[in-house]
Amino acid sequence: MTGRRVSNQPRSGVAINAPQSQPDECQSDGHAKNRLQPSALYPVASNRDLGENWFDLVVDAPMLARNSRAGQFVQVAVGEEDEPLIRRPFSVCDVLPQPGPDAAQIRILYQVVGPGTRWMRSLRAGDSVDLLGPLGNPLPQPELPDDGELFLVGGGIGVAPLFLYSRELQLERPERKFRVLLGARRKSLLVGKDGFLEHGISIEVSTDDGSDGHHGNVVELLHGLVDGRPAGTVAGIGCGPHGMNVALRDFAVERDLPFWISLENYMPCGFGACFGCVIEAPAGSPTKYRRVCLEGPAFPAAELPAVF
Amino acid sequence: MTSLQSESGTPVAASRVDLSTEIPSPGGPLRLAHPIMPASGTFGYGEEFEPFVDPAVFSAIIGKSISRERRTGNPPPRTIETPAGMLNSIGLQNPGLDAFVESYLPRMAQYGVPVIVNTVGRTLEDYVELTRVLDVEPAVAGFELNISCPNVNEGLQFGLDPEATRALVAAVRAETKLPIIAKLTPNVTDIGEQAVAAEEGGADCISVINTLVGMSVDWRKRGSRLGRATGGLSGPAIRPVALRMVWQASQAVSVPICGIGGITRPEHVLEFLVVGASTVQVGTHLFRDPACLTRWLDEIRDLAHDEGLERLSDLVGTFEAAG
Ligand SMILES: Cc1cc2nc3c(=O)[nH]c(=O)nc-3n(C[C@H](O)[C@H](O)[C@H](O)COP(=O)(O)OP(=O)(O)OC[C@H]3O[C@@H](n4cnc5c(N)ncnc54)[C@H](O)[C@@H]3O)c2cc1C
Ligand SMILES: Cc1cc2nc3c(=O)[nH]c(=O)nc-3n(C[C@H](O)[C@H](O)[C@H](O)COP(=O)(O)O)c2cc1C
Ligand code: FES
Repeated sequence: MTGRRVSNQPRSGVAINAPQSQPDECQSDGHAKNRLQPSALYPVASNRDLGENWFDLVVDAPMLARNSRAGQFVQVAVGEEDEPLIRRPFSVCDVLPQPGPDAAQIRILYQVVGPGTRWMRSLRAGDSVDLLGPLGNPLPQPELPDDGELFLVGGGIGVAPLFLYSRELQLERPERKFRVLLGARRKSLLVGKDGFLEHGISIEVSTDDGSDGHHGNVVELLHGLVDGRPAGTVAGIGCGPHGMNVALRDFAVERDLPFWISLENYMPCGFGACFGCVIEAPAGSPTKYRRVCLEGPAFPAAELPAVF
Repeated sequence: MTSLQSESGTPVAASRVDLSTEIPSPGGPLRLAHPIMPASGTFGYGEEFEPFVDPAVFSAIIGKSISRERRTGNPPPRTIETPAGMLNSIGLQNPGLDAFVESYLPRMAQYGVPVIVNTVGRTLEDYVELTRVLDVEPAVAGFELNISCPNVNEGLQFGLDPEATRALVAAVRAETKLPIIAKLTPNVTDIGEQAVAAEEGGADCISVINTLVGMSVDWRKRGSRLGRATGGLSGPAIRPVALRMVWQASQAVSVPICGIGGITRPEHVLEFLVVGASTVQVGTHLFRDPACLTRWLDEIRDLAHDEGLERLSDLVGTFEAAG
């Protein structure tokens, strides 16, 4: 009676691809001891210290890597047994060697901020890490006219989903013009910048203290680049700290620009079961609140409530 | 520990350990393949778990509390992690009775295991009406009355006052022959008194415990980390309290007990059985490991087998008080 795989999709139509048993992963990596379950143990390939409390975790997980799209996240079981109790959500920052059928690893870019991420920092190559996912919805690829341009706006750790997103655009929509704008408090916190450059993706940066790029915040930088462009030629994706998300929402809504903003609400389950991660839904929706994990984590700016 | 010998002298396979149990009721017993169910509010309505596990791995399924009217729930933030647990103030967000019957129940029925509907109301009449409507639905195998939710100013009053609990259960009893499980709150001084009241009212089973009322305070903000002042505490932090209350309730009544609170390992299931539960529910842990049951049943069989048990139910109520 155990183990029957049900492949239905949740009501929202979100595709969640959870591995139930993946013989290919068991065999390919030699970690036969890892019993792959829906929340599976995956071998850590590397966990690099990038400085400034940022780390770059690479995990051997072919099934996850093949199924993950930019904007989706994995829930990491941090700690031993059940302390900390609640999994921690992290965006899939990249899949290696590249998105598509050959993908074999996923990358997580994370900042150490508390007990869960401190535990992640201690992971070494060869250790196992328990991941659940990919969860949530992929980021949309908005339609734009030929002269249109897509703006990917990241603040701090919000760069993570934008990286995979720009890789997907490069591979799948080579004709699509897009720009990556990154903001941070100071130059040394512009982690992730090099990754874009390595893939030939040009980026523009802003720092609060003026130590690199535009002196100011990233929404101001966006302002300078967008204003004056013809209507209907700009769309964007944003992901950053709460303050940036609010400023970006206000910016996009005032100008009626189609921007999607990815939220990082606290998520006890990540797959829709607890109703713990909700934000207010737009007026006229069937329910007053909606689940960020299942319906998001990115939402059109115009649909975000006054307080989120 | 001696291992079981079959007549031929070879050890009895662990796979033969009988995990089944039942909840008796006026309409006949509800037979369960094993004692483990999901706890209301931590399992959605089942479909959220489909990507990870067949919901039928549980012996019966219990969705989030259903009220007569649709409920929007409490303002966010609704959850916060606490040491070895979490506080929630979801506020019983649910689609309401009509939508539940129309769109959720048929889907839950498809899983092929009994569906126990957890109901909540503001008044006695609400519970009666919920039961009346649901009792005629063939997909419904039983009721769990949430008379204990700490996050709304209702329901709970029944769970706090034995007279009200007795009257409520009796009124619901008049509407159904299906099993009635009365879910009690731990936020009382004498759980035994509440359990007796529910039993006298006609409950077929007592489930304990719902969440403990707690707070998480941001002193700089001079306020709560939740959208409301208080929330319900769940997870491993409450397991010792839950075990104690199951033990006390099981001594006070003769109907079966369903143990709930902080179960995160198969051994915890056995602990609850020892103190008197014949069934259990797993809640918060499902967020961390939604498919835990696919492994637990085998592990429990092995543990029981190693202990020389032929039937898991032989463990129920075997607790020996010291002194
Ligand atoms: C969809 C999503 C994608 C994310 N992607 C990334 C990423 O790519 N890189 C990255 O560094 N961080 C990311 N985060 C944030 C990351 O989940 C938190 O930083 C992490 O949970 C902190 O855990 P901790 O135990 O170290 O710190 P804690 O002390 O537990 O928390 C520090 C802060 O993180 C928040 N937090 C804790 N647990 C959760 C949770 N389960 N869900 C949401 N927030 C939480 C807390 O509210 C607090 O503000 C993402 C969050 C979400 C919801
Ligand atoms: C997020 C959340 C929502 C809950 N919602 C309900 C509910 O709607 N009705 C109910 O009777 N109990 C509800 N509960 C209580 C659980 O069913 C259970 O009694 C409690 O969490 C203790 O078990 P646990 O420690 O295994 O989680 C909820 C618990 C949590 C964590
Ligand atoms: S995190 Fe549980 S419903 Fe979204």
